[in-house]
Amino acid sequence: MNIKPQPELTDTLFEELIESHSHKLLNRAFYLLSNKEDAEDVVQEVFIVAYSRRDTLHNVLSAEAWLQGILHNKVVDMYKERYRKPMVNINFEHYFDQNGEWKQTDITNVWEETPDSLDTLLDNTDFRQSFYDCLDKLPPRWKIAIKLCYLHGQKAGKICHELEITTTAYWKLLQRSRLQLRKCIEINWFDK
Amino acid sequence: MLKKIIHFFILSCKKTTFLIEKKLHTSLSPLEKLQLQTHLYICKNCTSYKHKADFLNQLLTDEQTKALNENHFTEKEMNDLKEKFKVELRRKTHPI
Repeated sequence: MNIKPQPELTDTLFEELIESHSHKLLNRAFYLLSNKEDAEDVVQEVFIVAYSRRDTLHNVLSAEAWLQGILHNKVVDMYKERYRKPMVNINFEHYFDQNGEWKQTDITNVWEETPDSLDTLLDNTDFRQSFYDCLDKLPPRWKIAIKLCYLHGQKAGKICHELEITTTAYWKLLQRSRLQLRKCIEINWFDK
Repeated sequence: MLKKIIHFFILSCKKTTFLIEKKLHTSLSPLEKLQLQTHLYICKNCTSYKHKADFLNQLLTDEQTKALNENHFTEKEMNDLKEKFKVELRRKTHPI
């Protein structure tokens, strides 16, 4: 059998990686951190870490996934460092009584009930802005959990591992975040 | 007491919303499915919550795709950064 020797990831090849992958990594980092300077810093670190571990990249074709993996780890580290508060302590009292029933029944307030009008809302830039603002107002560690959730195609196991929380804590966190998002959208958009 | 018995069979709203969230990201066990359906059948509030959760899910998915494809950096910024990354890497890995 003819096995091709792996070309060594030389400095020149590595610079080509920087050239071809910076674009996507920067946009992804910006999505996760919502801040340009942070995104730049984190991508810089990704390349430095990647360089030091370049022998673990077995196939240049999988470089993108490899670099993204390093990026996610770095982003999570950044959040952990900044927001040391434990993220498992999630409070539901605002929404439910001791029996676990809705406190307010304003939940039945209709938004736009027909599917068509919801689609129109998705394309409405003002509504989108209002939604981004709500997303930004979530506690930072919830925000990162949500963003990672959607980035990983919603595979819980991987995210929980990265964030060092249990799966149940993670579902609760998503539940709590969405309760909050719903409320925020309601106040800022539908009740206006 | 009656409430407790009822909740054993058809779950509280708090637990139901938890299942609604969970269902968006993973599959539920047959018992959970049954519990969710039964509750939704009789509870207007949670049904309404479910619609909104589905909508939020769509919004978040959509936001993600858009944000990843959007360019947050201009071409010039991008090129400057690439150079900066290379220079910084050389400085760190090959100190003089």
